[in-house]
Amino acid sequence: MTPSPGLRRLMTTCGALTVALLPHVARLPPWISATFALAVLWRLLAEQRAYALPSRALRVVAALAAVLAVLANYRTLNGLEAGTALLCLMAALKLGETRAARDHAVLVFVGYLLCLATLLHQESLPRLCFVLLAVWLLTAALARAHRPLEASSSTHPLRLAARLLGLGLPLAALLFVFVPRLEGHFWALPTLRDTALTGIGDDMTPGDIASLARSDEPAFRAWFEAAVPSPPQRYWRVQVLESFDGRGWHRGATRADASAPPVAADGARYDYRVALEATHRPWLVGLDTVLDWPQTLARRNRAGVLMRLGRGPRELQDLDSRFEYALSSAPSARVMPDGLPEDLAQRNVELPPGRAPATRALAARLRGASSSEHAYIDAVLRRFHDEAYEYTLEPPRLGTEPTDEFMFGTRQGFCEHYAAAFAVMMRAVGIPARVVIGYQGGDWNRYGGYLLVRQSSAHAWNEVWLSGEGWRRVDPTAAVAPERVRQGDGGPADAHDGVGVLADWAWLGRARQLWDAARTAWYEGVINFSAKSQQRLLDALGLGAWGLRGLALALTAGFMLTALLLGGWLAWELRPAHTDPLQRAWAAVCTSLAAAGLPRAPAEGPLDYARRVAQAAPALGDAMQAFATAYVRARYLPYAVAGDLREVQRLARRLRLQARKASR
Amino acid sequence: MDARRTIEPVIAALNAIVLGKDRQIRLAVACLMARGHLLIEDLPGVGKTTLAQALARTLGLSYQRVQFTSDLLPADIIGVSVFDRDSGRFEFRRGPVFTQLLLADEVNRATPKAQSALLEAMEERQVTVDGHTHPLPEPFFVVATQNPSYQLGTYPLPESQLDRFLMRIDLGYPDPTHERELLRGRDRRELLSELQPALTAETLRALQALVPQLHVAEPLLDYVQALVRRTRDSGLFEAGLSPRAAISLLRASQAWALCHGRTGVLPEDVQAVARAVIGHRLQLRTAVDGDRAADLDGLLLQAVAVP
Repeated sequence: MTPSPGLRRLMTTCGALTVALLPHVARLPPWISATFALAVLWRLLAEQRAYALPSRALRVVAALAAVLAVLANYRTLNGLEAGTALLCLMAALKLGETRAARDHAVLVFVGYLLCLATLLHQESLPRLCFVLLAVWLLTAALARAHRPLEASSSTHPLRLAARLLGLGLPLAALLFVFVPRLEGHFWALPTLRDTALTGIGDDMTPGDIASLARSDEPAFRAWFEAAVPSPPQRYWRVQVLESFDGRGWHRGATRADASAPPVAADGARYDYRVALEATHRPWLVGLDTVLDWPQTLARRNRAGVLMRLGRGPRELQDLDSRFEYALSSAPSARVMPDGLPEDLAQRNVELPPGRAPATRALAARLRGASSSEHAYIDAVLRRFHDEAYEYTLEPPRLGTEPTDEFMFGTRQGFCEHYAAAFAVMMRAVGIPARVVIGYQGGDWNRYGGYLLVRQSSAHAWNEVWLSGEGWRRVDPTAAVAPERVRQGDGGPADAHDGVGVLADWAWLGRARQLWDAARTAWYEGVINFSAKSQQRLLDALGLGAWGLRGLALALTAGFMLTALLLGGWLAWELRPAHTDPLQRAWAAVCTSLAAAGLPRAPAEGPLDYARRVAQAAPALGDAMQAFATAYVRARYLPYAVAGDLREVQRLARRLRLQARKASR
Repeated sequence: MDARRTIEPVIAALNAIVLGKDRQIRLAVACLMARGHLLIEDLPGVGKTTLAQALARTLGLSYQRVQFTSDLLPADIIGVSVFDRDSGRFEFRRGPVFTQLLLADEVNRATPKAQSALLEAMEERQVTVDGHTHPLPEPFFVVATQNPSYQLGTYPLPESQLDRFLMRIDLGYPDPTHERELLRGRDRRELLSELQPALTAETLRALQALVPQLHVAEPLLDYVQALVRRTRDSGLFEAGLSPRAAISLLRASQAWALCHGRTGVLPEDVQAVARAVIGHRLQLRTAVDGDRAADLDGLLLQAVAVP
């Protein structure tokens, strides 16, 4: 059985509305989605079986109940969540009185609002694609609703909707670029805090980063002004851990007034911009070693950790959304080359008394066999490399003395284990050493021209202070698993991070890069399009001098002019087809009768038409006959006089009035 | 003169003889009013001859009938010059064409030579023999009948000669009611002989003179031109209508309007006669001589909007 035209139309609208609702289902209370689904099913059944729709009183009661239910659930009707819930319920109730095209239009507009809410929740590119699909379907449903019921082509509304959206796109782009932007949050858009915090922690106990390493989420992206550092240079510092309690490493207490460390800059210098994903912590990422940073946005402590400034001078602010800043770094710069302040020197050789005795003994023995500090460091690294140490992301658990157990027992671990053990070995012989956590590596995205660093590139390494050299970076993991460090452009070392199987397929890698570039472009170009970027664009177009007010004025004037032109064109297009008043009266009568369901066939003469109208609608018969006779006399018969026209017009008015009554 | 009141009795009288063919009778009368000639195309025995004879009698016209056969000569129609021994001169013996209403029966059974003799007379309304011109009587009205061209032993009229006929109509079988009446009633020939003229020749001529003067409004000319343009531009027909055909259509419409008592022509009048006037002048591109009338309705009349 094929569904009736009315049922098909209803199915189209309900289908499009359901698609628009889908992104909300996960967030809405299940009873709301269920109510909506039931309403849709019931309405379709009612259409098929011709059930009566609910009475007005019942609908009012249901609407009040829906409002109360939302109020009970959310304690408010305000805000995105409660608003979305209310919209869904009202759409479900609206189905109960959906009959005419107008009602379908209301449902479609509810669908548009749901799409808007989808984007208010999350402005990601996949979301946008889905919303575009939903808007296309909704527009098609709108077009379908306004076509005659019998129109059977199901692709025509889809094509029409696509064309309409396509035509609207340039206008939307124009508005997007040129409508003056005001800084600040959109309405009372709630800041949505992700429950799962990703990113690098403040502490390090073995196992922390293992879970992170499997996360393929982007950590940040970096655009370089000129040259891009080679893969072995891509050490991105985030946090420095200076205090060891025997089990884990923690941040040292930073003195509030401590100034940034003196840095001697030499070697190649890189200027770049970083877009850091939300971390919900104040730490910023920077290529080792950062020389310049935006002083108003961030400050750096003595350990070289960059942190984002809040409103107060000493207040820090967590990154709850994506954050962009410009930096300048020199990988070969020397930090504190001229001497380590006493307190720092003290802190960086401290070991908890009595812990890791075996490791300390090993350190003392090795140091005794080495001629210099450099030789000692080499000896330690060589030990990691030569002996049966193994790099693995799934090391066995360690007990109460993790350093000794790792050094002499399990000998399996990843960067954290090696960095922790190495720092202990250094401190045991009095060399100041600390653990640095951050990211190592980054994939060059050739489509977007940026380095993408994923959470899976999280890494831990060491810095040791050598007199005359200052803080020097040592990566013990590189001694164990050189490929872990040498990786760069999606190299084979990715295999360690759990995505390598896929990375082997070059096309898939390219597709991933392309997708990330598109996402980034979307974010950079659209989401991040601020008043400042707008001003930059205007400057580039030579319109910078106009300012906000000028832009608003120009835009308003432009729209008024366009509206005027369009209006003029429409008026020309829709001008009366007949300038002859007699023909106008005739055309008006034909239109009125067509509205009353009695359209004139194009080839139908006036008398034939009158006869047919009189037969089909006897109530109009007399008026129609009188009008047709007068019209024919004035138009086709000889000896027409001026009075004929007035008579025709009078009869036409009377007939049209009657036709309107009849059609009602 | 109230044309309608004058003509309705003629129509009524004809309707009493040829049963159930009101539209064809009206078309035939309108054709006569427009000074055109009529071609009736149909099977033998459906009342072609009866209609022609009834027309002659009710209109008070002299009547001649020529049965066209394959050995018919032009002289058999027009007449022949005979040497009169007494006066020592050639004398013209008028043929059957010298009448007011000529029934040319089964015109497509004669050879083209005989056909063209008749058709020339129809067009010129005079006959020239041996250098002498003999005008034909006034009014002069030819009713030709034709068997469907797929029957054996026929010489179908060429298109150029079909054009000489203002209208072509078909009669078709009577419907059961009228056929029953026909079976039960008296012999048609008997009825014919009792038929009284309902119109004098003078009245007929006066009516014929009124036709071209009937008011034609500009919008109606627009409509006629639109119809003609469609036959030329649509690509549906082998050739479009000629200006002569357009004039014929207008004349026939005027006659139809006059017969219905109107003082001006309406689009409905054009539509009423269009099929009869245009049908035999147009050839559908893809036609296998199928149901041409139906084609005309859909392709022409329904397709051109009334202004």
